[in-house]
Amino acid sequence: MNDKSTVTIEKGIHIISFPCGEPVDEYERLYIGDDFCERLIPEVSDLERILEYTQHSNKKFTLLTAYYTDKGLEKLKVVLDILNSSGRNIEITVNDFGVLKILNSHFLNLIPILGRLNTSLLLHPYSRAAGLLNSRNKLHRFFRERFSLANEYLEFLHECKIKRVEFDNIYSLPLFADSFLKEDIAVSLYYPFTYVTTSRRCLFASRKAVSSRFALLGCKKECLDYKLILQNRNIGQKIFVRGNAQFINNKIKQNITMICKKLGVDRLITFSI
Amino acid sequence: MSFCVTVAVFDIGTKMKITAPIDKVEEVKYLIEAGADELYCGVYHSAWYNTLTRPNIKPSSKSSLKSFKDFGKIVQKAKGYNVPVYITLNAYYYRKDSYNLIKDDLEKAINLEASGFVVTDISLIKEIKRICKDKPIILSTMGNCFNTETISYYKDLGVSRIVFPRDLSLSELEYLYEELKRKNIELPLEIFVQNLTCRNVNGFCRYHGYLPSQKSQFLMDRIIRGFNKILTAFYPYLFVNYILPLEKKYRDKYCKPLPCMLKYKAVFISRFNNSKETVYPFWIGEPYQSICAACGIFYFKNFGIDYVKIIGRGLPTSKKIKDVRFIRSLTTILNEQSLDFDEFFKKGQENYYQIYGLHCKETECHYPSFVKKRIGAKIDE
Repeated sequence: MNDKSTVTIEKGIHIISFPCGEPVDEYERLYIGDDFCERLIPEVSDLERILEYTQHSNKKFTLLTAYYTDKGLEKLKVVLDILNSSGRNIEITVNDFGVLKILNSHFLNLIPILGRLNTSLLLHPYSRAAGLLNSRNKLHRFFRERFSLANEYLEFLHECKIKRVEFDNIYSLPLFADSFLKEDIAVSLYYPFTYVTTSRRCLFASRKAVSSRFALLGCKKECLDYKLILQNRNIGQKIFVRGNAQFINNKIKQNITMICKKLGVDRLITFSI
Repeated sequence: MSFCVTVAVFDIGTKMKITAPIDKVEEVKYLIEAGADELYCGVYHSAWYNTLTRPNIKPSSKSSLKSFKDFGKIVQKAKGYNVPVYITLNAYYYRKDSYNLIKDDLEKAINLEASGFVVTDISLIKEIKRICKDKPIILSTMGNCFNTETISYYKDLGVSRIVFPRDLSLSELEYLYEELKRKNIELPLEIFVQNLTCRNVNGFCRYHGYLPSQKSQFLMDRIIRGFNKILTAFYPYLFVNYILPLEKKYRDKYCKPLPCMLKYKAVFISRFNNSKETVYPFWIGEPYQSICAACGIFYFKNFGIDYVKIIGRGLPTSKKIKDVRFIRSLTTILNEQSLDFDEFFKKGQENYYQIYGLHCKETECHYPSFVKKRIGAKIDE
């Protein structure tokens, strides 16, 4: 089991397109791609530039993958093939068990990690067990035991060679992080936005094709040009839309790095809309 | 993708099966007589009230049976008609606090002769395979099978039928079916045909567990009461510090309509120059409640789909019966007559009017662009 007192936190950043507008010097790891939309698989030419850039700047590299139809999967396989033969330790964030299957059978040089679409299902994004972030040990233990994952599920992760899981809800970490850490599965956190839902009727694409119930199919990647914020006074928080996914802002007042260290999280990924 | 409209011809006798929801014992007779070939239901009994998990994905206790006694009665009644009854155990995950409970439920269901299980959680699929190899396992739509690799993955785990996500278009279904054939993956397939309200991907949507309106107020009360009972027994001081804020927060803030059912003020912000454009009202969900995909039946059989599922646990009995009657009328037309889509569509509209007393509307159609261009046209969704 990881020793929380000696945890060093790796800093990562998710970039929407490459080259990105914001400075990435302070980050050790780049997250490329998208974990919600099959339309945002990086083009091969972009990927080659990213690989070259990360090699020169000595940065590590993770590719995000979403849930795919067979057509999307074919495109992804081309990308995975390039990454697999690059001879580098490249992580692939998996949100679709089909992708996990092909990684474990065809692309053995790539490292699968369990994406946040799966872990987000563990705790409702609107649940705010804020008290637990600074709780007394007894209380923390009580909840942790109640919420801990079934052994069968952890065994399944081992069978699939999953060595890292990713969360984006800071409030779920006190409840679940230990279940993974004691099985030697590392934990990452995307911060500050927490995923709520995803749709194949993308709100950007459907602006122009309202009649279609499958607007993802009419997509022109409008989401790369715009972001969207939704407000309704009945909902306590704004909803932030990036591409075909919706998020809420779960920024906390405490120092996030300290909280991560305390909870044994060893990677913090800056994720913006 | 280009999708050519063809004439569907079926062998008489290869009937497409209708899977219908049930949440009351007395509904068995009516649903089967209306034409249901299979029934499915969930059981949400008192032992679950003190956990923070639900035994299945439906948030409202109204959508499930209250006890296994009722489940046993349903199974026995349906047995008289030779109709199988499946139990839904399709929560995303069962955590440790509920895993033993779900195992108990599983055993009870087996003892009461459940015909099979509708499941999502991989640990539970493995558990079912360990306990009873012969019982069929149906992968719930929550399993998110959008591609052949995922289907093959679940098949290897022992799943015996797949329920497709509602988010696949007809052209995508056709492509998926061609790929399944090409890769020699044979598995019974099931798809939703009635009441497909959700706009988001079901298996990845967290508005699902959001606590909406008055219906779920009851559930929330139960959860809070269970929470209070357990926690205050061990940690009385917590009541003030933790439970009360939780309760207040949920009651005041979250017991509102589902966020996806509301209209929003939307602000589009350019990533290049931060210019803003405001749109109001802006819908993020489906404003219509009973989206219908019944016309798709014409093609489903050609896409290897043998089972059509009606969503509707928790709906009034009369609505369930009408849904089953309507879908049965369409499968009967397909079985007994050789029609092209235009004729089938017209008959479908007539039947819809006869059964529901309403005209079918484009706004409540799951495949509107497809139906618009229905005859001899190439569809490019």
